[in-house]
Amino acid sequence: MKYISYFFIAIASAFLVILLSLSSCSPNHKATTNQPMAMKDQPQTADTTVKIRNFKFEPANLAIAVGKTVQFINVDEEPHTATATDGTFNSKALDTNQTWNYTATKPGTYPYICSVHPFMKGMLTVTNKKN
Amino acid sequence: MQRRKFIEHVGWTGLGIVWAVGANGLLTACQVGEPNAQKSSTTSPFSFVQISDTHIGFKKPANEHVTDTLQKTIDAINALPTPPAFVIHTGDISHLSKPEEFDQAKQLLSQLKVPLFTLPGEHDTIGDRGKAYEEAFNRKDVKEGLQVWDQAGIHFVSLTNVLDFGATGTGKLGEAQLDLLSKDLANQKQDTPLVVFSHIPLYNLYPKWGWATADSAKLLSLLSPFASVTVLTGHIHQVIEHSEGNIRFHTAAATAYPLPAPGHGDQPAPVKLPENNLLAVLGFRTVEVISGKDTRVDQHALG
Ligand SMILES: [Cu+2]
Repeated sequence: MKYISYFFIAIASAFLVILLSLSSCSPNHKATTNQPMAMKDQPQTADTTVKIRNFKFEPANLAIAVGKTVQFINVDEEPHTATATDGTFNSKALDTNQTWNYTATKPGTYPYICSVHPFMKGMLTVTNKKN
Repeated sequence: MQRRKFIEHVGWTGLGIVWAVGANGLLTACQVGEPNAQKSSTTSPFSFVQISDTHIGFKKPANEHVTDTLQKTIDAINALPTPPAFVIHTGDISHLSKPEEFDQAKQLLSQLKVPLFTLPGEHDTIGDRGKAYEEAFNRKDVKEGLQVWDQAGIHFVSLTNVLDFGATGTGKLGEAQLDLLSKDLANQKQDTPLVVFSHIPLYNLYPKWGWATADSAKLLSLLSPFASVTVLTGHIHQVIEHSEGNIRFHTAAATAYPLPAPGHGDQPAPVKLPENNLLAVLGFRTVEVISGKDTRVDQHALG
């Protein structure tokens, strides 16, 4: 009967699928490779940088003075954001190699997350202007 | 040989089996038979379709053709032998919440021959708390993220858990939405079957990656008195099943790309598979409510 061959195809494809899926359970580590075109000229000069890499803000804790500018750059394949939990700043979506600059306006401590991966956490501390 | 042909042949004998596999490597067998063949009652079955995580706008190696895989999904749904009552999209319609991504998704989804319900994922609310999403997919009856409706004796509940986040980075429903739901459920009979939708899973699936909802305990206490509760979510791009009491949880496959099984690897980053294996982990599901207590959930892989 024809059905017998269908049955064998089903079994064979099931095994193939198991094998292939087992071998593919780890994430794509190439995703985090740095791209050479990462740094493009920015119209606004940043004083310091937070790199978003491997689903982490680097450095996770940063202090800058009022009036200074921090640049967030996403080098992951996944999109991320830098979103202050109190709404003070929000980068919107940063795709691979996109940057976003934030100039600090008010002293304080600003915990922030990635709104796409809210388990990613950072802290921006804004200090009074030094003269 | 074409797969559909295969299904039609063996489906007729009542032995049809579709193999579906999650990115977690778990294999699930789903029976595909002629729906009426396995039923003794004469009432027509009520069924609907869930799709999830279409990520229109995604162009990375894990799937450079997310519009093609969505098109395949739509074609397969339109070709179902029993047309579903509706299709629900459980979020991450877009990849970056861009208006042009929503437009493209909307155009593709407009080919569905049955009504479409949607709810937002965290990729649909980036930077604007879902404003662009709401403009594209106007949801009139939504209050505090909650939408409820009744169909075929089933009470449907659609929840939003991507606008605020718990302290550890999990999803959150919020007090206002839970209060509304509490009032709504107080008016339901406890033998009414409930079907609940959201984007992020509504139990502690893998909190380390945010695969949980911070205030889900309160939700589950509202749901637990009901005799039959089916919870269908997206977000994790793989099929995982779980139950607590009378509540059955099912996460959905994506139509865009797979994510690793919980804890496999350091981050929940897209998994790159060879083309044919990719189609095997993408797809949609049909849900058939057979009686007040029985719900049948079938996976349909794209390849
Ligand atoms: Cu992120």
